[in-house]
Parts: sequence; structure tokens; C-alpha cells
Amino acid sequence: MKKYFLYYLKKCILPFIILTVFAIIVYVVPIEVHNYSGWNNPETLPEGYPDYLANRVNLFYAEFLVEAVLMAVITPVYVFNYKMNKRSADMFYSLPLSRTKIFAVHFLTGLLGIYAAATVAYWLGFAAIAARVRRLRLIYYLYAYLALPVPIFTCYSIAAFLYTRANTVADGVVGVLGGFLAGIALMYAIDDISSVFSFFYSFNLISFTPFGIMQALAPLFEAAYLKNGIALWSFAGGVYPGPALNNILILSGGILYTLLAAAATAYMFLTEKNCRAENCEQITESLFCYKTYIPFYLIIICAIATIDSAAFVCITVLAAVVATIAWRRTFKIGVKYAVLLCVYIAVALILACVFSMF
Amino acid sequence: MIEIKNLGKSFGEKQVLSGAELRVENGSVFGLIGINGAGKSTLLRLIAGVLKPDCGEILIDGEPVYENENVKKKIFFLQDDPYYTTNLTAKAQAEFYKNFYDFDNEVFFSYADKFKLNVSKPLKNFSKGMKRQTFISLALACKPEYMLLDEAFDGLDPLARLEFKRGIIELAEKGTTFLIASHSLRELEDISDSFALLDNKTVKAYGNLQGELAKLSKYQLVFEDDKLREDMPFECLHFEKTGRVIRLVAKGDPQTIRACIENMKPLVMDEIPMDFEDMFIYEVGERGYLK
Repeated sequence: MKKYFLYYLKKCILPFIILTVFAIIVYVVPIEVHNYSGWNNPETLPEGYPDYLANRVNLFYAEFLVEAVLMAVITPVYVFNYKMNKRSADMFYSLPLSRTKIFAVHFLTGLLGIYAAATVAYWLGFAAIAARVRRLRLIYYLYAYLALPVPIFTCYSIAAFLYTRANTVADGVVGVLGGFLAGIALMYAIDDISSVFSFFYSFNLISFTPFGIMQALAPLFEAAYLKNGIALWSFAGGVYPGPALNNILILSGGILYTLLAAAATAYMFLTEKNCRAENCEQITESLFCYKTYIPFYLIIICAIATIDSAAFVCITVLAAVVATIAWRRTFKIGVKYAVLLCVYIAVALILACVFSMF
Repeated sequence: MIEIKNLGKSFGEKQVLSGAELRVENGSVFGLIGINGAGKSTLLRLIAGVLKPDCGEILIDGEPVYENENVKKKIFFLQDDPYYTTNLTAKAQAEFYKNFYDFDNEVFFSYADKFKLNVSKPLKNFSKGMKRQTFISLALACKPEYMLLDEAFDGLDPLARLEFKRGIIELAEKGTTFLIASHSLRELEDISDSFALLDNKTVKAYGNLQGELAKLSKYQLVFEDDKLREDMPFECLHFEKTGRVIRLVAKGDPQTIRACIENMKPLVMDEIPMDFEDMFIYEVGERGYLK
């Protein structure tokens, strides 16, 4: 296993270099092109920016989030490609290495690849910020970096789990995207219907994604670093209750997703030995793909669209039909799926009508 | 030794193998034959540990094969369409196999030389036959105890086939067991000592090739009076009548069959040699395939 791990790691160097270049472009370039003129002078901080946040440490977490998410989606497609192709599955599964060990090698290599790419991009970003901004607490970056494995593991494991439930690359990508956005879609729909989250300081959809915990890390580490400072107090809600609730919401979502990621990883490792080679390239029947996503998104999107936006509802229904055709890989989807689709559309339209009354 | 007991495998609702029994002795060159879709590739994939049997067991040297690294170290499975990544060269593919097998560089380069392969060129630029030759070189260099070859001769030119057959015989003499699924029955006949016929989801017949061939007799006969299949006092696998000329394939003791025919006093009696392909055609053809 060690021999193959080293071989595979070496083989992945070029893809990881490409991934690193991508990470640098997404993270460091925006830092370089940003206008910092106001940030070095406390008198000219952006309007409405609380004073305690003058010590704010990382201005570019959003960019880093985008980068981490994209890497977490792209990397499983590459490292688990062997499971999606009949020819490669036949070759790999006939090798004198158990399925679990092959999976472990590819899983760890992918994780290391993302971490390496993120590390390079992160410290280059740090250097760029340090060279331009005087007022930031630069030591914070070390703490945040040490915490980086948690969000990376969370994003990657969940993406790997969703991707490997599918039988083809395309279905796998649908599985990952659908899964990553499911939390946002659900919470957005709930909020749209009930305004349940309106009391939060700023309702942040990011908190309902596998990478949401990264949002909590910035204020949390800032608070931890400043210890006796106002930031810890503010994080706990001493200054503004709004942001504190928001932080707690984000942190809870992040912890939930991290636990899910740990469970998903354990499940993947425990069940890999029974992975069925005959499923490669077959129609994906997993619950983490079209089977669930079509009714879920159809109903969610129609529910949050009012009946007045008939065009929006029509586009959603049409998308569901196209998705069903893509899933079954034929225009002749059969009576069973045609009936199911009609039922989903009917439920979605009824809900759209009901919610449009309020 | 490979032992297959009551093996069953289905893909969804489609049963591919059911109650298959087989025994492959060490050092034999075993031909696996059957019509398209008979389950030859599935059987090889099961023996290679790629697929998990639904029922029954596959034992190699007394141990189950599925997810058993020690047993799989003894096996090399060469698929009909082997996998390679884009831009991968034969040399790089050899590096890959070195992670898993006791790879013999000398054997690999000697076969690559014989086949005149450029091992530094990407495999994607090779013709189908050249790819096959590359993977055969790799397979032989891995020196497994059990070699599973799916459509082994597919795409090979006559000279490459000859070289490959020599390689197989050479390794078989050293104790390697070959299990070869192929439709090239003439090639199989040259090198196989045993065979199995897959039909109707199971192993219909298996055993020593020459022994099984000896059980079949093929005759061209002409009788004075009109003779029908029912008039033959032995099992006829095939009976064809054109005018007064009868061509038949009989199953049973050749001496007894010959004596029976002689008793019927034919005007003309020619015994035609049987080969593996004839045997396959008559065994499977009589079951109604392509009728």
C-alpha cells in the first residue's frame, strides 16, 4: 500500500500543481488587485465598520471559501475517476490490493493535494496582504492556517461521498453540486416562506453548506487571539447580539457538516470492500443524485417562486424533465418515471399556488 | 488450482451465471468458450476478484479470491479492452504494475522488442493490436501463477499470435496456469489442454480437450436407401442431408460408432477429422443458437 501511495502521490504532482495555480489565481490575485488605501488608516475605515474590527485579520475569507469549495469538488472527480469507468474499475479491482486500500490511497492523496494547494495559496495570500496592509493582526493567519484541515476535510469528504455514490462522472458532479446546495435551498425556502431567520443579524446562506464552518473560523480565531480583547466579547454577543447569533448559527452548521463529513468518511471506508464493479457506467440509482434531487429541487424552487412568476415555474418544471431524461439517458423515460415526474410537478405546482396566497 | 463451486451471478434481474462448477488444474492452458453473452468475461471477472459472487465460491489454491490480497498476488487479469490513462506510455504502465507484482523488466523489454513496440510512446497512439501486444508483454512480465486472459488473441496479427502462443507455452511449462476466453478456437486448440463450454448460464461441458474431441466423430456417408436421423443407432449432434449425401457428427465411443455405421453398409464412408471449432459449432448449434 505504501509503495502504491508513493507512486500515486508522485503521479498526482502535475494535477496538483495545476490545482495550486488555480488556487493562487482564485485567492491571491483578488488580494493583489484590491484597493487597500482606506485600510491602513483607522480614520478612513469603510463606513459602518465597527471599530473593534479594525483589528480584523482576514479580509479575503470569501475568496478562500470559493477556492476551497471548487477544489473539494474538482479533486474527487480526479482521484475517484477509477471507480466511474468499467475498464479502470476492472483493472483496479483485479490488482492485489484491497478495494479499501486503493480507496484510502486515492482519498488521502486527494486530501493532501487540496491541502498542499490551499497552503501555497494561503501563504502567498498572507504575504500579499502583509506587504500591503499595516493594521491587520497577521499572527491570526497562523491560527487560521492550523485550523484549515477541518474545513478542507469537511468539504472534501462530503464531496467524495456524494461523488462516489454515482456511477458516472457526470452523475457524480450532479451529486456533489446538488448535495452542496441542498442545505442552502432548504433554508432559503424555509426563510422565504416563514421568515424564521429574519431575527438574525445577517442571514447567511453559507452557514448551511459543508464549507460554512470556514465563516465561523475567522471571528472565532480572532476572538481566541485577542483573548481579553473586545472581539471575544463581541463573538459571544457582548457588543451586538445579532452577529453573535449569526456566528452561533454558522458554527452550529459547520459542526453539523463536520460531523456529517466524519460519518461519511467512516461509511465510505467501511463499505468500500463491497463496492460493486458492475455498477460502473450504469444508471445512478443512489439517493444522493437525481432520484432525490429532482423532486427536492423541483418542489423547493416552485415553493419559493410565487405563482405570479409562471415563467420561473415553467423553467423549473422543464429543468426537471431534462434532468429526468439525463438521468435515464433516454427520451423514453418509461411510464414509471413519467408518472413520478407528473406527481412531483403536481405537488410543486400545488405548493407554489398555496404559498402564493400568503 | 482454481475451483468453482455452484457459482451464481446476476446483474440486476439478469442472471448471467447459475450453478457453474469448474476445476482448473495447475499448469494447464484452459480455454473458455461460449457464444457472445454466455458469461465468459463475467466468469473471468469473478475469478479475478473484480466481481463478488452472488452465491457459490471461487477458490484459488483453496482460498477465496474476493478481496484476498495474497491470492490476488498470484493472478493477472488482462481484460479484452485494457485500461490506460491518457498519455501513458508502456514504460509508465510497467512502473504502475511494479507496485503490485514481482515485475520482470527483462521479460517485458524482450517481448516489447519481439513485438517491435516503442515503449516510450503514448499507448493512445498505438493500434489495437499494438496495445494488445503491450499488455501481453506487461502480463507476461508480471509472472503471475494464474493468468486470466479475456479475448486473448483479439487484434493480434498472425506473427504476434505465434509469439504470444510461444510465450504462453513457455510459461505453462514453468507452472503458470492460463485461463483464456476467446472466440479464436483454432488458436485455443493449438495451446489448450483443457476447455470449458459456457452455455445457458452455466458450464455445460469441461474437461480434457483431446479427450472430448475424441468422443466426437464426423462422417460423410452415402447409403443406397433413404436414411433419416432416427435411423442412426447412436447420438447425433448434427445431421445434414443433401440428396443422398449425409454429413453427421456423432457423440460416443468412436469404435462403436464406426462399427454401427459399417453395419449399415454405406456405399461411401469418409471419416473427417474434428477440430475444436467443429465441436463448438455442433455442441452449441444443436441448442438452437442462431436458428
